[in-house]
Amino acid sequence: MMQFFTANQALFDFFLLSLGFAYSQQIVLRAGVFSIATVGFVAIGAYLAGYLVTKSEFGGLPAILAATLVAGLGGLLLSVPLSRLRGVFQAIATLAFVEIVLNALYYLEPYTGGAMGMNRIPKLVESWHLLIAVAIVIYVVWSIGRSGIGRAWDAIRQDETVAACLGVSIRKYHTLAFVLSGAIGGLFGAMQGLYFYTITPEQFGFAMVVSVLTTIVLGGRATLAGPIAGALILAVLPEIARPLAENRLFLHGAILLAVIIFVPDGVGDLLVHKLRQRRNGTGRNMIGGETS
Amino acid sequence: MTSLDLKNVGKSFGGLQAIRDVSFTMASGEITGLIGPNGAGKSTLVNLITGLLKLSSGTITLDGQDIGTAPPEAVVRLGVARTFQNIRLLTDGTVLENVMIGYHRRETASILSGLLALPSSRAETAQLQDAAMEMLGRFEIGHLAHATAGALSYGHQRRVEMARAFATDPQILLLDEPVAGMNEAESESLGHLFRKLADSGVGILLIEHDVKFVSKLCHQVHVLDSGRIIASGTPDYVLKHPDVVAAYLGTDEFEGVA
Repeated sequence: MMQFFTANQALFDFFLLSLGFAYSQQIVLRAGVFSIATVGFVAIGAYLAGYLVTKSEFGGLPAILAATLVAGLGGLLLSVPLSRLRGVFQAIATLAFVEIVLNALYYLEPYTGGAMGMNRIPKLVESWHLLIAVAIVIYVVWSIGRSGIGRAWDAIRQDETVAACLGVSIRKYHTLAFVLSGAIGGLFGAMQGLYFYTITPEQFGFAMVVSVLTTIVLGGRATLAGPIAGALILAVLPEIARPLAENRLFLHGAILLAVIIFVPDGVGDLLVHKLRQRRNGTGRNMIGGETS
Repeated sequence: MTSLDLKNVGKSFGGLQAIRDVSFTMASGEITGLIGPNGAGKSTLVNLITGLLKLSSGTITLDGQDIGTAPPEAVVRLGVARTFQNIRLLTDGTVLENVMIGYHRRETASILSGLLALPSSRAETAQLQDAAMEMLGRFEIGHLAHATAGALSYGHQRRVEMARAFATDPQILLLDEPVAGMNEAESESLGHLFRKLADSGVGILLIEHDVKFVSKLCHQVHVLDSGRIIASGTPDYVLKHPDVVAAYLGTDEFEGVA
């Protein structure tokens, strides 16, 4: 067991990081906000933590907390103009936000190292740190699913007009989703920054936007299990497909297509729904919003 | 005793005057009817009252308080709830979840307690769940609590929507064609339910096509045609009113052709 773990540790850590990014993405989608700003928050978190640790006296934990806070604040600021937009317009505006962050990383060379990126960042984050962070986020998302916040988000996502007519303040809950998505993105961005020794702007480009979205599409956007299933598939798939070498991307695309066509809700959501149906058929069930 | 007052309410979409100069009053404990042919502006009027549409002219007040410019979430907090003509449930959620969100205005647990599943948030969820179950019982759909709302029959979906609206604890309830597409037995049993709700002190505005159904339940009926009130009074009075007959059955010229 231990041997298996050490052999696959890098894979496991990659899985935990993408799980964090996926929750940051899922939270906004769950609240009915079509934001793809997660990668922007991740970049802010990674660079801020890297900067604080290398250029000032910050330790690992304070740097991570500061990055979480600042990225959450970034989410708050972003929500002001973006809460007026809906659907695809929101997606395009948040994509623009990611581009702005990316360009800032290139242009603020004295602070960010420009295209060369930031190097020689001490590795302060270990697997068990990632595990703790993931556990905290899962607990929060689980709690939300059992609270009025989850109920409000589920209502807004399914029918905004109905939610408003039942007294749900759309603005308040959209803002909350932006802030949480920013904070979680910043948290895991900071952990990534303090994990890989080096960060460069191109890591946080369009490819990562697509990869984070893919996690949710594969796994599901409404349940706690969604991001876990999605991140697991994305972490394990390249390993399984290793013998296929140059056909890997083809396999990747084929699986994505198959999931969209046959499991449009995502693999994780589908499993949860099946389980819930079985449980409801037999006896008492837990009520906890969409997440379980 | 709560009363909803509309004074000279008007709404135009561009050049189209959808509602013009509509005034009426309704009070809690009564069922007031609003009838009119297709396209008369009934649903537009409901959207104006609930804040989904902005008034072009006139005022809407609830117990003297102006709600004409309030957003929907504020209107419902003041005690005006509604259902939709084309049933709008949260189709992916269970029946229980649909009714629980109706209690949103009662929620007091802080955001932090929700994020961390603190006792106050958990207690609230449990309490609202019990309240929602009781509400489902009142609407005789308790056995469907864990069914997916979107998979229910039409009649049951109507009941879920009403239970959800009623969960907001309204003083005034606007029902937009609640018995449309139902058979006589179903609408009869809903009629009893409305009577019960009104007797418990809620003011109901019943928007309907079904003239017979309305005249059985309401003391006061308003008839809307082309955005104007053409007759108001007891069911007997308005149904004999020549303008109403013309609006529903056509005018003399039409009869001449027939």
